[in-house]
Amino acid sequence: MALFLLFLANGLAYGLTLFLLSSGVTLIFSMMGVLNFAHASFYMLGAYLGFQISQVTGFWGGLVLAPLMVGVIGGAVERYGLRRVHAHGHVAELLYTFGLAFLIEEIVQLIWGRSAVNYVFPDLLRTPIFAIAGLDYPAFRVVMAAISVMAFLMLLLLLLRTRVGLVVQSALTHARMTAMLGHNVPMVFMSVFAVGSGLAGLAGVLGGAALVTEPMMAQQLGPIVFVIVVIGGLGSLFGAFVASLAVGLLQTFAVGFDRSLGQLASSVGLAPDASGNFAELWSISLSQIAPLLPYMLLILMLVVRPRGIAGKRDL
Amino acid sequence: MILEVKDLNAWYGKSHILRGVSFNVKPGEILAMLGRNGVGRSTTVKALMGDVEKTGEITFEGNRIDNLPTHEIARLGIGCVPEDRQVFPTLTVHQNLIMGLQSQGRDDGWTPDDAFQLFPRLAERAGTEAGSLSGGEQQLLTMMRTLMGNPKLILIDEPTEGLAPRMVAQVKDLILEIARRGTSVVLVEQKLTVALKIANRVLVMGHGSIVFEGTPADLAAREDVRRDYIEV
Repeated sequence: MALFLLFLANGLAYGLTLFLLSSGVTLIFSMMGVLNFAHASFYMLGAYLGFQISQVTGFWGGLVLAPLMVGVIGGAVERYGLRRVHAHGHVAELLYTFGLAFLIEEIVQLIWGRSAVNYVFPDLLRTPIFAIAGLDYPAFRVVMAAISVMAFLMLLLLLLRTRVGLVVQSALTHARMTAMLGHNVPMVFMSVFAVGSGLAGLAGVLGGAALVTEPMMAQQLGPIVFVIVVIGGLGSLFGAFVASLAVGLLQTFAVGFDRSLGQLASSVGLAPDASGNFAELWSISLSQIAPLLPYMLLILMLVVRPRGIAGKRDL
Repeated sequence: MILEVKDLNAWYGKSHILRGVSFNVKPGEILAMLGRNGVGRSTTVKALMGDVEKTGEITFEGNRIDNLPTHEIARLGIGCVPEDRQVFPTLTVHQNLIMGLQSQGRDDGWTPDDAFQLFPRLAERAGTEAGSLSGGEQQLLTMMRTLMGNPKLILIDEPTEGLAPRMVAQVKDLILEIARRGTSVVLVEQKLTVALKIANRVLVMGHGSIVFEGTPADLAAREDVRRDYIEV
């Protein structure tokens, strides 16, 4: 039971960070109809900039400044790149973000090298705040979860309770009509892109310090983000939230419960033949297939419910 | 003149839709644009709002606006009610109206309360999602939403299309009220009877250009124009 609680806490913290990352993708998609392949690269930029700034100001300075810088970079990418490419259609946009992802990866390697940088949370956040089943639970996980929840609530408040939010919601579906009412829609697009990138940067500052900051981190997390956006439903913040938690918990539990498929089958009453033709299959552990689970969920979702949990349209 | 249009040409991709359209709008008048479907009336509206590729001169209150983006044209005081009644379906009726408010609104201008007084039905449904309104109610909401910005000129595209007669009468009365409050109206309209009854002046379009300009009485006397360019 204690172990279950630990996995639950870890899974929630991981899932909430995934949400920080995927909220931007889903907002940008529903507004511009473009799947931003470079989004995870902004996550990586957040981690590296957080690392760099923390060398001067300490961790907290990086936590504040790095997401802001990534937001500005994201805004510039929209204003001076994507907006021009937009006229040539979605394929051009997709290729543009695809190229951008590689560009950012190369630049990161050029500046910070190919190996991981030494970026960790400060001692204060690494101290355990409680222990479950003899395992320490470090403070930074709680901080990560709290920051993600705050970001979600602020985003929801902004979207649902302010006039700016109304303009964003309107521009999501009726950009031209919104402009005809005197609202600067290109500016709204740029701001959404900047905020989405900034959130990815924030996820990067946290994720980079919690996991590892290296040039492959964007490639590793990028596909998961798309899984979340599809499962949650393209364009739905709420769906992305639920899907992030689901994927976070699923992966954490799969890694945590280190049982083989054979043991798992036995526990539900099946009797796998441990020496038969599928012996190797039954000996695969759940933690081994953990990385596959999100993609299996993705495929299942596409077949059963193409619009995702809360999406407004089919893919 | 509040609006002067000179030699307006517009394209959709490679199709040349407007071919040298020129006309003026006087302060406080209702100008009806008549003609069959596909002759360029809606494209004229879109061109005025900066929403299609175009050439030519458009001058609003003495300032050239043909190079401005849509939102700046709107902020100068040109409101537009497009033909497909684009209410924001997931926002409430009241939120739709708020979306029309502009920061430089006048004290004596239109307010959401005006909308609710004129149309009690909208007041009853102020808190419901606009997407659930009937077609006629959506039309009234779209018009009222644009009026919240207190435009000096309002372009209204096919407001009575597909509406029941009772709704058509309400829309007609609203247009008269808009003009009475001093806003110029450009009305794109299919129904000849509606247009002739409320317009001060009439333009008839055919094949991307203006083929007739005059008063409703002038048009009534020109059976050839009505037969060749309006009646179907």
